[in-house]
Amino acid sequence: MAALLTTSVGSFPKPDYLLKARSAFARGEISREQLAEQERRATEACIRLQERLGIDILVHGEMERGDMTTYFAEQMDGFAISGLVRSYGNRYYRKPIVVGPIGRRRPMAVEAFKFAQSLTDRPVKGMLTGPYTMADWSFNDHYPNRRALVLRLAEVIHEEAVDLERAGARYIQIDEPAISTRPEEIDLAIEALGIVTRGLSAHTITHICYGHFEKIYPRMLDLPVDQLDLEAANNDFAILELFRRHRPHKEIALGVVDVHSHRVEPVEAIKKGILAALEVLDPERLYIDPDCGLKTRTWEEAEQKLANMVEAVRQVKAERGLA
Amino acid sequence: MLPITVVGSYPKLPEGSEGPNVRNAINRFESGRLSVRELEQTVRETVARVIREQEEAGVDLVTDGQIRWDDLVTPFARDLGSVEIGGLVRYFDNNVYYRRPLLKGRIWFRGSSLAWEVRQARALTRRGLKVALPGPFTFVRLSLDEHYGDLARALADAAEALNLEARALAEAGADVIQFDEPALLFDATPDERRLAREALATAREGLGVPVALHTYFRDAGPLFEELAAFPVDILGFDLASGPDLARRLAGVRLDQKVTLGLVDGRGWRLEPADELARTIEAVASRQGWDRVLLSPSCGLEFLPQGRALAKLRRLAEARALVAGAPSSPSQKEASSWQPS
Repeated sequence: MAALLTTSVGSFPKPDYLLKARSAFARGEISREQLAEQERRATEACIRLQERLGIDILVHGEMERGDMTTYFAEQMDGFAISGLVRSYGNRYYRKPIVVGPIGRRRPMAVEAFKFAQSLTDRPVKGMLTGPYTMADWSFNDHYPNRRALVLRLAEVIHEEAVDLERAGARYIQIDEPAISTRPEEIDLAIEALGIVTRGLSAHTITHICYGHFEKIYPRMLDLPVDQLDLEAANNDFAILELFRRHRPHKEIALGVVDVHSHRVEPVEAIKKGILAALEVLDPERLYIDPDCGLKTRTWEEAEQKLANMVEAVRQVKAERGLA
Repeated sequence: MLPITVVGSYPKLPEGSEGPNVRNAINRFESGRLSVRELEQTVRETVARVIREQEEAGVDLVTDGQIRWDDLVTPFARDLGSVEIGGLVRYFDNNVYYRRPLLKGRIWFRGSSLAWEVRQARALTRRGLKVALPGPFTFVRLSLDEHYGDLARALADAAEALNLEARALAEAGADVIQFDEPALLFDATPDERRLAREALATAREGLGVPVALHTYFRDAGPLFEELAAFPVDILGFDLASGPDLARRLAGVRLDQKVTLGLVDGRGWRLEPADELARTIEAVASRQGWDRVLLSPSCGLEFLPQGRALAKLRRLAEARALVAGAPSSPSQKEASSWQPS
């Protein structure tokens, strides 16, 4: 069985030509199709980069997405989009507002997946934003309570997951970075994710970050997916202590490089993290990736971080005699 | 009567294309297209805009909107020795992040860069000026303690440093100093809350201006009696997170003045002015008409600017409704945040 498979969480930095095309499109200077052409160009660059670095399970890079919540909200019925709200530093996003019953008009993430998968023989993950996060990161001006909103979103996102599977996705990742926000709502998040993954045969993953995992661990192991993708580098691998106390029965993908630091971690430092993880996790059930999406880094930083990550994995595998 | 205030932050960006835009300015600065002085100019214009916007909406006790701040804790942390700024961490239960201060040794006070900010804001308004700081407990809770290994000792040092900071801000022209203690509502134990209260007593010593305490993001109801025993002049409550708080405040008169966090600083829905007015009337009848301030539930930066402004206007509308009500004393004097 393969050990220490490498992957990425989701987003890649948008190349300059795509940023320019997005601004031009926003100003009405180019057509939707002209923008899409640049998105495909950037997606291909992203796939080629990952192939060249030797990553095992690829992502398409989310070149067509601005914010991970807003991208889906804009394509669903029942949402309006607000003005800009700051998330940290100089980063802002347009927060969706739920103004009516939520529904799906047409597939939302399938086209980008199919295009990316057509470029490579390696598996590409189908990428979705989960119902709990969609709800938590929107203003609710319609549903009577959070539960009603989350469960409605779960049904809609389930339809999308089924379509991704039909389109050939072998891995479907449902990002739930907000899940650790309110430990008292972990049951709701589990129930909602169960609706999304109901009946899927694809390998399912959920990504969670920026949280106090200790408040939802080990309960979060009950999230109905095959793999939990978690940040570790940003927290100095403190999460390993939780694994030590209660060994996870799921696959774990562990973030070993910090995506919010310009500093490119040296191979030695990354190796140290991986070796520490191997003390508590089986290599066959441990995947290695960055903490989170790479979109806030420059293209060069993203490439260097991934290159060092892959090299660290290669050295660890060689030293440990892992396949 | 019934002065209006904000809790702290205010949206940095205007919603239309008009007005100074710090986001664009920072982007242009980082790509080399704006000079250091030009960037600073945009920031100053933004501070002026948000103060003017508050004034026009009817706010009596304004803040500078924390325009220069990325979050509640790092600006104070930068004024401290032995404290470094760490990685991004989620800010309580919001889709907002802060950089975690790392306590590497005994905290000491290096001098107030925040006083420089307060002097600028002071020059921009004749209304009351409030400055919000993290309370000692919230500051320590949001930090990573790599030195003390003991909450009481970390709190004691943080409280003294905060006291030095707060004194500098009062000297620089702040009319009210507010300590924000949302962390009290996030699983603090009774022992921790007792230490937090003692630390706050230290932080407020000898300030010479009214001191406020504000909690938010969760229901303060379970801690109502405890908070009422905190040694401050003004107690602020997030009524949007505490459905029963208005009833409590209409039932028992507190020693402190009360700030009613009436409109939800994190929710989109605009609260009907007549509903707000009824709450104000019920509470003010009990607390005393000169002992109640009106505000949003928390900082307003969780909303886009247009909605934040609309929320402030709702407060002014509600106050106008109350002022016209037969049960309220007539509004003889201009609203004042001054302690009576």
